[in-house]
Amino acid sequence: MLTRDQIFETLKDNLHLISEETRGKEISEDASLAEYGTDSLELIEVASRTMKQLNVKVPRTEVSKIDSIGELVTLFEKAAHKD
Amino acid sequence: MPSRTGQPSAVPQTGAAITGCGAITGLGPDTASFWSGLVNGRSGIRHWLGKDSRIDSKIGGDLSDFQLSGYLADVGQDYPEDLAHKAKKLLRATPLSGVLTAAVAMQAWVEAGLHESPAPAARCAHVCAGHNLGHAYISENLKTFDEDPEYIEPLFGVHHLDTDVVGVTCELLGIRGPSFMVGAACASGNIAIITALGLIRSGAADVVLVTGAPVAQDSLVLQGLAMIDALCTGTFDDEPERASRPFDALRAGFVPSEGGAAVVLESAASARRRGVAPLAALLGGACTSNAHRLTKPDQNGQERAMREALTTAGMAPDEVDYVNAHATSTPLGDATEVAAIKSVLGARAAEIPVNSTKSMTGHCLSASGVVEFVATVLQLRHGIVHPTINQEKQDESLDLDFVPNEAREHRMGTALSNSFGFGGMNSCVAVGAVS
Repeated sequence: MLTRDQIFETLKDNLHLISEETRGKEISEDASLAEYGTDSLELIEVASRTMKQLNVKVPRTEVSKIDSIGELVTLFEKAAHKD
Repeated sequence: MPSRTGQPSAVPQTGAAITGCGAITGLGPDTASFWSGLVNGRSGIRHWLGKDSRIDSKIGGDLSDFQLSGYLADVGQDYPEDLAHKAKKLLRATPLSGVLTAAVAMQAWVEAGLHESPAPAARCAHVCAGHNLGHAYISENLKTFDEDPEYIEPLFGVHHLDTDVVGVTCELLGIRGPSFMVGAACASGNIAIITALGLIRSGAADVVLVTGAPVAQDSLVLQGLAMIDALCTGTFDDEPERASRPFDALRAGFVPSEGGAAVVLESAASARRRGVAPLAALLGGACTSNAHRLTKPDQNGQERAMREALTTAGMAPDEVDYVNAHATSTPLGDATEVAAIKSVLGARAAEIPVNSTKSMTGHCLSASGVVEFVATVLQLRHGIVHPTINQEKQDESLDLDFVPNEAREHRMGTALSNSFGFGGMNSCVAVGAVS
């Protein structure tokens, strides 16, 4: 069973890889993505990459609505447990 | 009016200053290696990397192993740090064609001094020559799609569009004037240059970046071209460097290539304002249609393009000092062009060199006009004509001076460069040396 920590760690790695502004910064679940300077296209890339790596499919319409990393983790958690 | 043989002229009011050039081809990743390869008669053709092994096309000007990070590390000192950094960030997930286009654009932009002595952003335009650039990217994603549509490239919706190449280059260089693509098959490059001249003449822009966007070659498209007998397949698969041999009796079709190039054109007044000396002058250009969709070349359409280009440049046929031929290495295409050149230039045709850049670069398709425009500018500036390589067995019916196998000194005041495309599109541009 995929844990919340595993999802968070994967998302964080992908965020650092794709969104240059986040590199070297501590990522917290509560902070908003806008605060880190992550744009909407980068968010789509982060979500897609994570979906592939974790083999979890998250509804894309929901991805565009999220504001913080924590919300994205929750989205993945729900989808993983549904599977 | 441009002067004759080797006597440089100024940029005419009706023309444009050429202030920057860039090129990435199988001959190397910049204009210096491009020129060195051309003048030394080196071939940029090799075996394709990573294409479907079932296709008939085995060789070409392959750039699929181009790595932006390595390129920027190699040439980074030539660019302002902020520009190189921006390129790295912007181009991270960009398909090959966009990466290469942005890279050649940076070369031309920096040579034109636009990073140090800028023109107003809204007075700068970008005309990108090319179309169907993303075939290879689309084909790759189709394979993923067949397995699971969910896992296609996340930014496919943006990156599959040719205009992404225009957009990313404009963002990189801060171009805020007109920006668009010009598509005319293998005549795209010249017609983009002619379009850019129109923007400058009409006052719509002071500076126009023209890019010949490299086409990332796709197995599906290569097979289609092989099936209509357009490509050189089989004969020289074991000796790729001998395959592109325009005018030679053993020529057997063109060799596709992924090269591209860029030039900066600007009004003479803009170049003066910015304190930049022109490399050469664009004197004029013209394009015509054969009113015929098929691939068969049409001598009349080619002649009309050359004659009209001369008229727009205010030149007489006997004022042409050199012709960069379209010369793709197809049996019929080369013969038709030679007949057209002889008809337009008359006795002058026998007195001047006519060479083929494609003998070394291969055929860069929709980018070829810009690649050969850069080759023409370099030759004018150096007073040297590059060879047409692989001239081993003379085709007795083709009797112009093709500069066989060896470069040589040749002072030039003016030159023509031809590009013809599938769909019956013909184009010719006139270039002049400047003091």
